Parts: sequence; structure tokens; C-alpha cells
Amino acid sequence: MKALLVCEQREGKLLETSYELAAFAERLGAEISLVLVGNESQTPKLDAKLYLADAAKYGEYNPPLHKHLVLEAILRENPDYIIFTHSSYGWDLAPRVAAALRVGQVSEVVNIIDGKFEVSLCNGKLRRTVAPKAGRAVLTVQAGAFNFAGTPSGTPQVDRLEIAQDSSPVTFVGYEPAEKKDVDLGRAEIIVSAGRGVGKKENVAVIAELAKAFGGELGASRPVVDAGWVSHSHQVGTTGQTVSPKLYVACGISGAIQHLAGMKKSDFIVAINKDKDAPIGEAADVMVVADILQLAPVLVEKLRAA
Amino acid sequence: MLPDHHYFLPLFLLSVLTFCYSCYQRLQLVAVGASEERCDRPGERLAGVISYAFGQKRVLSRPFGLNHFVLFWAFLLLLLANVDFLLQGLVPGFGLEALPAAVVKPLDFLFDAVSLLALVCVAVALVRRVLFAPSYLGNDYTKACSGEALLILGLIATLMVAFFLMNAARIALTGGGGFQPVSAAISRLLAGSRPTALATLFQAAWWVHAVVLLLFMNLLPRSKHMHILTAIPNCFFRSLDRPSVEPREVFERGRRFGVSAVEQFSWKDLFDSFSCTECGRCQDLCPAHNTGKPLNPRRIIHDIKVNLLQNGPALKQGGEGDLPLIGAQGEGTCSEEALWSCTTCGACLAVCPVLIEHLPKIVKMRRHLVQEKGRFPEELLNLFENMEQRSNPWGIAPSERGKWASLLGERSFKPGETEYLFFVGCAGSFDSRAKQITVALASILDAAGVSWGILGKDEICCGDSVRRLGNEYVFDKMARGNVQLFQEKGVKRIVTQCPHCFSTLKNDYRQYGLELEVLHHSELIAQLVSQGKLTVPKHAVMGKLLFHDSCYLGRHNDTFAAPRAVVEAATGQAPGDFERSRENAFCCGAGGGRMWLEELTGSRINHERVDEALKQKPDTICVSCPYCMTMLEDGLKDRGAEQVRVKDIAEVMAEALKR
Amino acid sequence: MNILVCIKQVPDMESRFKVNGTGDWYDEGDLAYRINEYDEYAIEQAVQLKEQLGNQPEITVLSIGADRVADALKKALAMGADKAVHIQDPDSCKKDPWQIADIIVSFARDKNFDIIFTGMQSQDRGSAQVGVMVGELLDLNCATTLVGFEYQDGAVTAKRELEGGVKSVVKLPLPAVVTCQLGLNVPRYPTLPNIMKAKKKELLGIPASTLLKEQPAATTEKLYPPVKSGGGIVLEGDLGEMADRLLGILKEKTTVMK
Repeated sequence: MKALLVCEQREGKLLETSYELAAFAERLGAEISLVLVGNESQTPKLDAKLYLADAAKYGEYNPPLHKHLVLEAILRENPDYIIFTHSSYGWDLAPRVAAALRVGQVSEVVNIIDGKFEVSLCNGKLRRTVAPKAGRAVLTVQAGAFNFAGTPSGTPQVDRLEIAQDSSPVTFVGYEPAEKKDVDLGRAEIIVSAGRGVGKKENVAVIAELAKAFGGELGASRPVVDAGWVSHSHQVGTTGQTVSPKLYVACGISGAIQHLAGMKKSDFIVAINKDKDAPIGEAADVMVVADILQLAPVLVEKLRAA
Repeated sequence: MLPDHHYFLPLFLLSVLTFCYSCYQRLQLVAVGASEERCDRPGERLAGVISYAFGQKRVLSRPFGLNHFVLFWAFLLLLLANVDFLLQGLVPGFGLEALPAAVVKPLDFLFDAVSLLALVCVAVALVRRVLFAPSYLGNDYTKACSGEALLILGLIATLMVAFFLMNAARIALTGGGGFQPVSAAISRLLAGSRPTALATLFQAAWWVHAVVLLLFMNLLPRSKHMHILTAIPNCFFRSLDRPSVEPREVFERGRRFGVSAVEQFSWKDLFDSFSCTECGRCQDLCPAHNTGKPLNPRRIIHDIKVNLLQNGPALKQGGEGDLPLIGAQGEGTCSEEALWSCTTCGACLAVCPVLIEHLPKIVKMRRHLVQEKGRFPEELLNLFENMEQRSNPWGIAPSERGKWASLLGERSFKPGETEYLFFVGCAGSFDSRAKQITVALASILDAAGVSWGILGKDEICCGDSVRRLGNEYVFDKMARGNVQLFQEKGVKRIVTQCPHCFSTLKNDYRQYGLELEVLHHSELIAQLVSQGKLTVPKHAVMGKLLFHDSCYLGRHNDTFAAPRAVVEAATGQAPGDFERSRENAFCCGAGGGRMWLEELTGSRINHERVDEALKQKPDTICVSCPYCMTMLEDGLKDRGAEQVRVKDIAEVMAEALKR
Repeated sequence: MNILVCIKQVPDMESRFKVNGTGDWYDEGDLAYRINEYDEYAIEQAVQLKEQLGNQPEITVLSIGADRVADALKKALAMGADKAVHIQDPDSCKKDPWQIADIIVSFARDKNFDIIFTGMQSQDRGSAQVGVMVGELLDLNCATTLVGFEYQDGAVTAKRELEGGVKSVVKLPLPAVVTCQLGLNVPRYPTLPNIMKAKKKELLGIPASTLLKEQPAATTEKLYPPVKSGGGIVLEGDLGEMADRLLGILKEKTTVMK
């Protein structure tokens, strides 16, 4: 079984998710080859054939040209699976390739079960296994679902990829850096929120520190915002923002319904509260019975060490 | 001796003409409004006129109202004296004089005494306005000592003084006055004056009285004192049903929804605006106004009047006015923020001496903003979607609704078997704090052997919030759904634990033909206690307990005694009252959909209420509404007074039954 | 200008889902349906474009599915679409994205749409395939996951959202397909007069069987609830131990802890 992994570079840098594709292919038991539109200095450190097209010529973002490049690599390699990351790059390219090949695509694979691909649906409330029709298929893999063990240290055998076409009607104008907003809860993957249980304004800094250690944003319940401890842009709940991060850590939040309604869609909820019976426990996947002011520094230390 | 009627007659006719023309102009403006039935059940209406207008029922609910009461009756009696005065001016010798002395003499005494009373009242009112003006007499568009207020008081005083001088001069000239002690006393001061001087004084006083009287009459329709003409009819045209229940809308193509221009109000809404005397009582009680929000119910009525006056000429010709009704154009327009600030607590409705209906006007304007403009505070987008999609304000899966009852076993309402439908409501079904009230009530009903059942996942929100927020279209769908469900299930009796569900099911759903027995849990528990079905083994210990009136239970449904009776039965003591309680109770801040809105302007309504409670250092605040529960608990936490417990009456009773 | 908006009706994600009798999809009874959130952004953007161009463009909104789909189409009409096409298919959940794209392509091929708006994915399947496949099959320019949209002189300047909040700006001439992401706009709340007007707008029904030519390319084998993620784990005791256990659980159960 052969798999062609479509690697990604952004602003001249190889994305780490390229290695997750390799980890996935290994689970699949496939022999891999790689394709990348990028520059030579940032190639994946994997022992495999790499079809490398020059980003200077074809652009870092140019789906019509990239599609032709991937199709060219497919033509040469004849893989069973063409595998992308389920990312902004894969969203654009994978279905084009699938449609051009007139084959099926399975999106955002999280697991392989008996040779079938497991994907999640309805906000993770259900799972299903999908079987592409025999022959070739396009897959996109959930970022973070397959971890590459160890440090990559291989050397790819580079094979230059060229196509006759070198222009397309789509033009790439440029990148815009992420907005330096005070806070953007709507898009945060991790939110660590402070509730009234933190006691006083000065203690919000402890939670902010924890949020930083998690690599997430600081959220807050309404009373904390009302008390003027943090600005309204941090407020989660019916009158604040409705959020759905991958991880939500509620610190010293009892779980009034106005708050629960704003965060219950989170993928995974951790509640840290002194009161074991606080209503937040009903929504939480993990309830940590502790004084947040004592636990937070310990967590920060361990997160930094990791 | 009487002045030459040849001079008086044209003056009189001119005055009457201009007065009639002014009134006609005003009434023409009122006629611009949409039609509305306000003449049905005339008996009931007349009874209302007697108690509210002639009995001055609401005016008297405040101490200073007595002054107005006296002035009002003085006015009515002196109306007779003034008719007499005018008749004599027109046809000398034709008047009360012609009646037998047995009638004339008491009348002379009455007019004389009442005039003195009126003069005293005017003086008291003047002193109050000038020296002790309560804050609510003034506001951003008028002051307590406004020229108009002082002018009117001055004119009344002038009338009285002229009346006395006129009579005194006559007594001094011709004698008599045995039945006019005040005038006679003044005449004694005039004793010794030359008859010609007295005659001149009489003539002068007569003309001053006549001119001021006619001037006063002509000022009425052009000033806030128009209420002298409109207040009595306004009491007649009052809403016989709950004025807090907004009228239904018809959802058809080509219709307008809500009110965006003054002519879309009903004629009664416009009549209201001419009936306001700017007494400021509504402003004084309004929770929004008291906490620094831009809403002032008195201002809303004033703006409607100003808008009508300004746009009137164009409207009368079938055109459109230039001044928008809703906007930020200042006097004559209502700001959107003001409209969204209303908690629909109904304090303005309950206090207005002339029964002006402020609240429905606010909701009508909200309807326009929501339904025709899609313009509302952004927090509401989520609320509306949750209501439409999941029939509850938080957007929780409807299947979770009956979950609280899972520990109690099968508790479904069974048609033909179950007596009471327990309509749990959204808070009672989903909010973990309110669920404790639900469970407490369930245990009480079980203890009393009441047959009850729930609809579980089939129950949908009553729609209170969406209706008060002006989303009548969604409310209409929800109300139809619930009414149909109740009818299908053959529900005959309903008990709720939330005053919002209670009032909506009981009053609003009446518009949908649903007339069931709907009880708030306070009423049912109080009944069970008085019937001896609930006996308290040992009183619950709650320490110093204050009872907070819910607007939708108390003011909107006049249920003040039942919740207090429940507390008394459970604790053995009548609960204490807030400084502002019963009809005057101060809202918690959550009604009218405000529960789902940010409160960013001014101070917090719940803080104000909690501060009022904390002055009495209570141990427990007892509530009868899950929204009040949330608002007061939050307020206490914000004030660092978490040692004060907030308990629902059902929890207090359940506690007593446990022992 | 001729605009097509492709929308899907999906179950309310708040619902409690149950597996159906045959074990290959969720039970559709007892579910409340609504417009796929991402498709609402698509409708809104189409209506904004129409307004920008002086209401000259005509917006056709299309949806595939059972009778209930008419409700979604009516809401789109109330938001400002001009006419609706209901491609009737009581069994649309059995169609894979390839077939759905095929149906849309069959309908749209000879209609000369200048721009097609759709959501970047559906909330239930989350495949993020259909829009791009339609673009590929109709040979249209295409950009996905839009958080910014500007139209001028026959070309769209699209702002695409990339990972980590970085945005890439691309310009694509019409005809084109764009797929819409959260943050593009705030869908309007339909006003009542527009709801009333929508009742009179054209709603054309076409049986899916007359349009579908392709066989499925990937089939759902089995559908099941996920293994409980952590469900009510309570940690108590020593701070250090709790911290270790918590971080361990997070590494295992979430994708955000590296």
C-alpha cells in the first residue's frame, strides 16, 4: 500500500503537521512518499521520496497550480492514498484533487479501525467509520490526532516537480498577521476562565498565568467582569460570548446556568473548584476538587517543565 | 352693580370659541391613532371613574395626594359657582340667586369655605414646589418650579382672591354675607371705604375673576393641565384587563408590526399622552430611572405627546411626520436604549393616578425594532435563536427538561387522571439553583397528597421574555403551541413555580382562548395550608426574614398575601417587608427580558434592591420567583453579603415539612 | 449577476443523538432542524453582495433533502434570497459529498451562476468537501474558509482564515465558489415583513433522482457514540498528584496538549 503525503509550508517554514501525516501513514502501514510546494531548506526530515515543487515559481498558496502539482506527483507515484492535513490548506486542495481524480474523500480522520477510517460528527457527539470505494482515495487527517514519536531525523530523496502551467487566475495577495486583539475567545482552542472563586482582582493574574502556561486565552464569568477585575471581552456566558474551545478550564466558577450556556459546547471541560458539589461538576469531564490559588502555581510549573 | 354684559358677552363667546377650537384640535390629533375598543362593559368603567377619578383612589395613596383631593373637589364645587358667575355676567339676575334662600344660603357658605380651602391648598402646593420639591417633580425636560406650574397655581390663587374681594366688596356695599364668613371677614376690613371705591373694587375683582377664568379655561387644552379635561375620561377608557398584557398582533402580509410612528399607536395611547400631569410618580418608582438608565416612563409619555403635536399638522392631512418617534433626536423621540431599559415591572402602571398605560407603549415600540428592523441588543440574537430552536432561553437540549424528575420516578401528566399540571418552566427545569425550588415544590405537593404531573420534554417555554422584548411573532408561535398542548392533554388546572409562567399562562394565554385555573405555587401552598392538607410539624428557622415581592406575582397579579401566608405558616412569623414593598416593590432587574441583557449603564438594579434589604440586616431573603432568586443571590455576592440566604417560599415550606 | 447559495439543513447540535435502527446514521425522529450555521454566513454574504450591487443580482438558494428542508429555504428567502430550489431527497443522508456535489453540479451546469456561496462545512458531517468539489467540477475559481469578502469589478478579494489566526488574502475573478467561515459576518435576523414576503417567493421542487448520476465514493459503515471522554472523573487529594493526573488525562483525551 502506498501513500502520498501532502506536506505544507507556510511563510517558508515547514509545518509540523507534516510529521503527523507520517505517523498516520505508519498506522496505516503504508509506504510513503511526499509532495511539497516549498523551498529546499525546509523539507521534511523523513526517509522518503519527496516531490518538491518550487514555491517561488508556483506560489505558497495557489490551489489550481498546487492541484496540478499533486496530480503530477500522483501520476508518477501511483499511490493508493493521497493524504492531507485537515487544515486550511487541505480544505482547499484535497476536495479538488479528489474531484479531479473522481475518487472519494474521507475528511478529518481521527483513527483507523479495522482498515476503516474513523471520523467524528455532530460536534463530537457521534463517531462513524467510513470506507472509501476500492481503489484510490483522498484522506484528510485531524491535526493533533496522530503524534509522531521521537524527533524526525531522516533525509528525503528530492525529486523536482515541474509542470508546464505556471499561472492561474487566482492571485495570492499576502498574509495578514493574527490580529493583536485583547482577547479572541471565539477562536481560542484553549480557554482558562476565572470565576468569583478566585476571590479578588489581584488573583486574576494567577489564572492569567495559568492560561498563558496552557497556551490559551483568559476567560471570565460575569461576576468577575462586573466587579471590574477583567474587561468585558473576556466574558463567557449568555450575555458574554458563547465559546467552543477544545479545552475549557473553569477556575473557581460555580457554574450558574448563564455561564454553562456559554461554554457547554467545549470539547473537554475541566472544573477546578473547592466545592465538590458545585453545579459546574455536571458539565465537567474532569472535576478537580482543590483551591485554584494553590493548584494553579503547581500546574503552571509542570506545564512549563513539559 | 353687575358689569355691563354687553362687554362681557363677546369676550365670553370668543373665549368659548377658542376653547372649543383648541379642544377640537387636540381631539383631532387623538383621532389620528388606530382604533381600539375602550367602551365595552360601561358599568365597570363607570365604577372605575367613581373610585379613581372622583374617589382619587391612587392620588390619595401618597400623603400629599390629600392636597390634590381637596383641590379636586373644591374645583368641582366651584365649577358650579363659576357657572353661576358666568350666567350672571351674561344674563343679569339669572343664576343661583333665583333659587329659594334655603338652597342659596348653604351654597353661599359652601363656596366661601371651599374657596378658602382651595386657596390654602394652592399655597401649600406652591410652598412644596418652591421649598420642598421632591426630586421626582422635576426631570431633564421640566423643573418642579416650571413657569407653567407656577402660572397655573398663580391663576387659581388669583381666582380665589378675586372671588373673595368681589364678595367682600358686595357685602360691604349691600350687607348680607351671613353665610359667607371669609368674605364677610374681609368686608369688615373694607368697612368705612367710600361706596364708589367699593363699587370700583367690585368691578375690578369681577373683571379680574372673569378674565382669569376664561384665560384659565383657554390655557387648559394647551398645557399639561389638559388632564383637568382628560383625566376623568381617561379613567373611563382604562384597560379593564391587565394593562401589562400587550394586545395581540395580526400576522398578515402588508401590515405594520409594532409602532414606529406616533399615528400607529391606538387613540387611547394618544389620549394617555394628553392626560399626563407630570406628577412624576412613575419616574419616582421606575427601577431603570432610579439606577441611572435613560428610561423615564413619564418622559416616554411626554415624548409621544410632543411628537404628536409636532407631527400633527402633517398627520391630519394624511401625510407623514418629520420627527421620528424612535431615535436620538431628543424631545419628542424615544431613544432605543430607553426602550430596552424597561424591566416591565409595572410600577408605573400601578402608581399612575390617571391610569396611563406606559408599559404597552414601550413594548409596541420594541415590537417595531425587533420585527420590522431586526434591531436589538446583540445578546438577544442568541436568546431568540434559543427560544425558536430549543424553546428555552439557554439553548439547552429540550430532552433535558424533565431530567430533574428522574429521581422521583414516573411523573408524566396523564390526561384524565392527573389533577394539576405542574408547568415547571425553563429556570425550574434547567437552572441548577432553581431546580432545588422545583424539587422542594414537588415534595410539598407530595406531602399534601396533590395529584400532579409534568409534560417533560414536551413542555416549551411560556414565551414571557420574547413577548416583553417585542418578539410577538415568536411568542405567538410559542403560545399557540402551548395552548394546543394543554387542550390536547385536557389540562384543567396548572401550578407554576415561576411568576412569569404564571402570569403568561393565566393572563396572556387568555387571548388565545385558554381559560384554565392557573395557580402560582404560593397560592396553591397557601390553599393547602388553610385546608389543613399541609401541617407543619415544627417551624423552619430562617432568622430575620424579609419577603421580596415579585413584580409578576404581586403588582401584575395582585398576589401579595399568599406568599406571605406560606412563609408565616412555615416559620410561625409573618415575614418582614422591604422599605418598598407590595404595590411599591422595587424590581430585581430581570423582568421584561432584561435577564438576558447586559446592564451596562448606571448602577445595577439588583444591587439597589440588595442594598435596601441589607439596611435591615436580614438573615434570609425570601422570594417567589427564580429570576428574583438569581438577581438577589448575585447581588448579595457582589456586595460581599453571602451570609444572607435567598430562599424560595417553597424551600422554606419544604424545610418546615422535613422536620 | 446570478448568485447561487447552497445550504444544508442540519439537526440542532444541542440535541441528544441516537443511532438509527440500521446502525449507519443517527435517528432523525425527535430532532429539531435548522440551517447549517456556516451556510447562514453564505446567505448573509450573498444578500450583502446583492445590496452592494443595488439589488440587481438574483439570488437562488438551493438545498437537498426531505420535505422539512423547505423551512430552511423559507428562512433563506426571508433573509433576502429571491427564489428557492428544493432538490427533493428523503434519503439525502445516505449520499456522500461526492454525490451531493454531483447533484448540485447537474443543477447548476447550464445556469451560468457568477458566484456560488456555501458554508465551509456542515455542522453534522463536517467534511468540508462539497463546495470545493462543485468548483472543481464546474471549473470555477474557488476559495475556502472566508472571513472577509469584498467584491469589485468582477473579482472577489477573499480573506481566508489560516491556523493560528493568520489570514491569507487572495483575489479570484468570477465565476467562483467561496465557502464561508465563522466570523465572516453576522447573519441578519429576518424581519417580519420579509418573512411574509418570503411566503410568496418561488420555491421550485426537483426530485434528486433526475439530477444524480454518480455512485457513492465513500460509504458510512457504522455509526456509534464515542467512548466516554472522561465523564465525571473527580480528582481529590495531593496537589502535585492531582496536577499530574490532570495533565495526563488532558494529553490522552484532547488534541491540544502536546
